[in-house]
Amino acid sequence: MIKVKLPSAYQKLAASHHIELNGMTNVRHLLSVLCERFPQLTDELLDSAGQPELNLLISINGEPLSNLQGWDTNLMDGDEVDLYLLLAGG
Amino acid sequence: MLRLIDRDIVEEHNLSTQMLYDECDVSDVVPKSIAAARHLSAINSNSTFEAQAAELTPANAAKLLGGVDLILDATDNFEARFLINDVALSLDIPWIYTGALAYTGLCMPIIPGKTACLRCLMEEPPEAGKLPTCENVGVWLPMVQAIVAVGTTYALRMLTGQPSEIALHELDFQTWQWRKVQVARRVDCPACEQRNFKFLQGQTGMQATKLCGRDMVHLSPEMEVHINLRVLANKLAADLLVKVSEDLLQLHLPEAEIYLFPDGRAFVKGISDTTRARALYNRYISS
Repeated sequence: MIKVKLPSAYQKLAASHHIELNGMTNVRHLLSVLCERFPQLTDELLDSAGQPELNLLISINGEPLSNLQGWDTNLMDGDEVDLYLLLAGG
Repeated sequence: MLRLIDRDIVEEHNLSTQMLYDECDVSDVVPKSIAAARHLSAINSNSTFEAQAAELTPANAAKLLGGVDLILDATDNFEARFLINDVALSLDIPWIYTGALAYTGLCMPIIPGKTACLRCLMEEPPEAGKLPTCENVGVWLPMVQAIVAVGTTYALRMLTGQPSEIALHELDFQTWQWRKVQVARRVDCPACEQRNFKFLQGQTGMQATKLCGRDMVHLSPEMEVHINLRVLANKLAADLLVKVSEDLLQLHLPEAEIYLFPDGRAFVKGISDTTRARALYNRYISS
């Protein structure tokens, strides 16, 4: 089981800010499953070319993807995945 | 010394969320940086406050942000933040990213040569129109205060030499969560590793920005200029309703109001179309 925490901006779109998913191989797979399950999230998570949005920051067990293998980082049972949305507002 | 930089003027809708201003600032149409400096001076006359009623641009950024120990980001757009990031890295000045939207706030200190920079987190600004704005989701005042408290705590600790764990903090008053993540520097970061400061070097032409949540456009000329507002007011007053002071010219048009500063910047109030705003500026100011 992979635990995923979404920023509250996505809470309405996914009905919850805390989601549990099974059978995720890597982060790219997780994003595609999130978009499949919650189609309203697709525009938020992916850009017009289908790539992860530039202002989307993801950490696994507190470690950002930049310290791991990026979007191809493997996921294991029990992992906690946090999605952060960098904000422009002020 | 605290240098306050803001391109805006105080408006009535600011009073419920921006604690440094009052109704007199609105009626007198005072630039925000000047009003803030006045109010802060009244609280503490032993401190020095320098007001800069200016927009941060690639042309003036090094001058406005240079010579300080720390830069505090209180901006509302990524364009300004990418510019701050470039200037801070090039001048070796730490800065603190702070942002708030709806019930969420983010804060992260950026120390050149030591921590990740903004472009380690996000290499390029997101596509135009993709991000939620205060126009469509609003800003919750207590969240602004909460995330500013995180930023000022970092600032005070950094300025007094107290070590701090550097992390990206996310506060959320919808879920009552406080999350944080320590972001490593990117080995191939174009800014802090490769020293490519394209946001500091770029931009041409008149910059037009639609202001968040309002029918107002901000215009900023490419080059620094100086306009004698009284001379211009005399020219315009023959046909139009004009009010002028040393710092501001107000031009009342049937479809909009133009607030012009001596450095050529202007707010066009009453319309949200940037092209139309440029056209009005060109018609009444540039000519």
